[in-house]
Amino acid sequence: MLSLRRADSDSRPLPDIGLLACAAVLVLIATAVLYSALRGIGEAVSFPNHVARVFVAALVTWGAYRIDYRWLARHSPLLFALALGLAGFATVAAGFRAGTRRWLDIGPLTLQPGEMAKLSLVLLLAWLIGRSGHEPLSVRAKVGWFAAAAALILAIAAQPDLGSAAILAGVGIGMVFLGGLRISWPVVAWGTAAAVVAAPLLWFFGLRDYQRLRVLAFLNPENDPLGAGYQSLQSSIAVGSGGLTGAGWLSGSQTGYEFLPAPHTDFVFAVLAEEFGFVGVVVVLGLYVYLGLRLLSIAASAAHDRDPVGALLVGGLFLMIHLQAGYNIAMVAGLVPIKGFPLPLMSYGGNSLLITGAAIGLAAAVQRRHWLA
Amino acid sequence: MHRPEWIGTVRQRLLWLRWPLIGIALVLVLRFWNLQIVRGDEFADIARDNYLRNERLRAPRGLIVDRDGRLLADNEPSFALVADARGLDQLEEIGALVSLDEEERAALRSRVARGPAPVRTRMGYEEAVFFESRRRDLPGVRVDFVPARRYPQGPATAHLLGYAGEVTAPQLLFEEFAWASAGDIVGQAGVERQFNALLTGRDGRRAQIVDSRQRILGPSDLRGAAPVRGETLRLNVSAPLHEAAHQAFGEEAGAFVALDVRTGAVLGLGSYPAEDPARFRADPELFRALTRHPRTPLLNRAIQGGFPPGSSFKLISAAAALAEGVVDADRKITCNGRTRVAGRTFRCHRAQGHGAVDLREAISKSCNVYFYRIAAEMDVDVLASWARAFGLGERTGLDLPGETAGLIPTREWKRRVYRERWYPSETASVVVGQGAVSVTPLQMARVAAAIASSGRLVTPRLASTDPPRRIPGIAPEHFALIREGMREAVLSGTAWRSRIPGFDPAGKTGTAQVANASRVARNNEDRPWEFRTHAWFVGFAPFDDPEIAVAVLVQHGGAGGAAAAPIGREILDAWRIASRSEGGASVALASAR
Repeated sequence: MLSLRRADSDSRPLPDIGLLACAAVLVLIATAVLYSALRGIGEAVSFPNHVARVFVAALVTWGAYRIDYRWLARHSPLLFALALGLAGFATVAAGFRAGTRRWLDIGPLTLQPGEMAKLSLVLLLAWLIGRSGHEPLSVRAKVGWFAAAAALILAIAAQPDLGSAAILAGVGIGMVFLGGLRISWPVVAWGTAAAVVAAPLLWFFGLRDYQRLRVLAFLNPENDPLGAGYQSLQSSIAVGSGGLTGAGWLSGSQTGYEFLPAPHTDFVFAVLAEEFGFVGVVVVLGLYVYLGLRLLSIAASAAHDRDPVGALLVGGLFLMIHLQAGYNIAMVAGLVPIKGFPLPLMSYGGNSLLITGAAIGLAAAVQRRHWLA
Repeated sequence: MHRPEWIGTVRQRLLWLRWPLIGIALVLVLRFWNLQIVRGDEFADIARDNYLRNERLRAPRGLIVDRDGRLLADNEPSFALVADARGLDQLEEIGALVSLDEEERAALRSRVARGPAPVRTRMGYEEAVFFESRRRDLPGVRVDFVPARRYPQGPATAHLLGYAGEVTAPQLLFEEFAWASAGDIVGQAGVERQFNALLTGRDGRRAQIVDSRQRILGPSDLRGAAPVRGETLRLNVSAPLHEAAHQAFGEEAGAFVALDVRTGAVLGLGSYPAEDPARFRADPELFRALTRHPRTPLLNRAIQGGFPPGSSFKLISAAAALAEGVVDADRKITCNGRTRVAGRTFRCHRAQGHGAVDLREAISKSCNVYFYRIAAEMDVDVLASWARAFGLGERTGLDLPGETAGLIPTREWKRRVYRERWYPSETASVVVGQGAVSVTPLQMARVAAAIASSGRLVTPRLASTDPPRRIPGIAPEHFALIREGMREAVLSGTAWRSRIPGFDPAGKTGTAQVANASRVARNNEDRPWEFRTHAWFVGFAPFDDPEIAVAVLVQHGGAGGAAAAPIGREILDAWRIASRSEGGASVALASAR
């Protein structure tokens, strides 16, 4: 463990240096990669925006670190209500962008309700499940909260932002699992059977045309190289052409000549893979793994210290960050269908960076509280 | 109070999550290993193909020069607008800019589907700039630099040189073009086609860096090669002959061939009317007009047209009669304007007759009766075998594609084609070059050369020469007799309009009837063009030491002496001037280099 203690006995502990350094290194690498990606699409003027956001994100991290996370968890229903309201408002009334309504313009700021929804859901579930250890919820309350969480997920899905909705669902299911849900194998079996039945129904009635195309394109990227499979194919070309050591910073042809789609947002990892090669990929994957191990370790020590809210909070944050990161990187590697959501800590975009920064700060706060563990 | 076992479960499950985390990370590492290390080179190649666009730099075709180095074909810079697959979406816009109709757009669409195809060729500098400046709006088209063929002699050498153009899809299926690939410029006709392998240069390559919208960002120093021009082809022909012939033909339709009597080198070969290929290749409208033109300016009459030779065929009949002993130098036949052969009456062109004529006079005055008497005494198959000895009825072997063989009728031929026997009276038509007899101007020039050289049958050649072969069985004095008759024709007979003081031409005229013409109108001048007689002049010069043999055909031109002999004169005179001037030729060669 990299967490340090002060030499004098009664003093407060230092923050978790390993966690913060790991996140900081990832952001630094991302900054270099984003410079190349933005330059490739002729948007180098946007680079200062990113640098400014990094500083704001650092402030948010510090703020989250200083705040009492248990106080925050107690007020999470309020935060959750706000996120639900925003998501609903964005879905119903906000302006159109890129054919979907994932953004909400407030003056110079662009709010993405999906990002906020993730953090608020994690806080809410940590509070609800963590409290239930000594103050069990009534069945009515359980149903009510479940319905509220489902409403949030549906609101996000209706934007339509299926990617974020799936992440939210994953985080929710994961946290219920962490919260000690007794796993009944017959239920798992029936659930699987139900999914098998539901999948074709969802395919024909639940998905929009472009969503169906994306799935098909993922299954067969070469079939339609200029259409829906284009992004997947160009991403694989960018990754593959990186080789062992990459084309070098600012030298990736897929990035520089605009073959790679969304190189600064959804496909930022492909830029890394092209310009820094397998070596860069392994380094960054290693950093994400280390970050995950740190988060899980902090959560486990909180549990050991009988702080179920802190444990579930950090466990949920781990799920939030790593489900997204895992899916995004797998998407760049061509293993899963293309979904438009960012790679936490690396993609260009303020909402994701600030929310992830807050998550890191909260995790560090939990660690500080249980540093003896 | 906390239930210890519950918080223990939470902790266990949190720690258990490490395994899926590490497991998924390992799967991803393996996947990136596969993409980047195992298949890295493959993807690197695809990435290079993505951003490098290989452009073909067209090699100019080789120059074509005449025997003295005068330019017959060279190249000038021009621009072409080329569309690729992305251009299909912009076809409406492009079509509006270069005014393509619906049909042309459909044709372009199908061509572009197979690969980049030219929308418009031979654009000027202004037009090239126009499209170049709209590259951002029209990424599907680009402006290519293409060397365009130029023919300085224009229509005068059009049929000789032919033209070069993009190889067509059906052509690619033939062995002749098996080496070519779509988009290649190949010789399509004439010398350009015959000597295509020599004239074709080696195209160069250049790699350009492009972005995903195919905008050119700059040249790449990878994989480049400069284009190499094709070899220079020196032909045996003399440009001034063509100039003279083109002028002399004026509005008339016809053809001429001039040969070196000793070697068979083609000194001139032309067919008129003609149009500069550089013009009609660039202008489909003009090309369509030419295909519908009543005087068929796209037909190379010199080698592709079979025409009745009329009285010029009497040279063959005379040689055959002398060789067979039917006539000799002294035998005279009395012409009183008409005679009967095999029960049919045949008339001489001079109603009151020529009186008693010998062979020389019969040739110089073109007396039909003299030759009708030969027909009465000679079998058509014998005559035909002598005609074939002079190379008629078969291809001469000229190094140009598309030559026709013509026709010399025989009994066997008539039986085969008409399922009828030969009537002796028909032989009378054959002796004077009528009936089914059909020859090309090239063949008649070869006949003239054979007579001028006392029986050496040359192989006409545009480049290099072949040794001539001897026509057996005809004595030199017999050839001399015929030559004297031809000289007399120029001095005092039908070919007097071909006189050149100091160059002493000898020649034979011909006025060939067209089938059924007399039913249309009695007088030649009153008939529609296509029923008028063909005018011929077949000759050589100088009389004492022949250098050049020439055959001139004026299609439906009227009388040989009036229409063809003056053109023959101009061609022979042009040769006289060109071959006797000094220095000018080498200056022209220097400018061609």
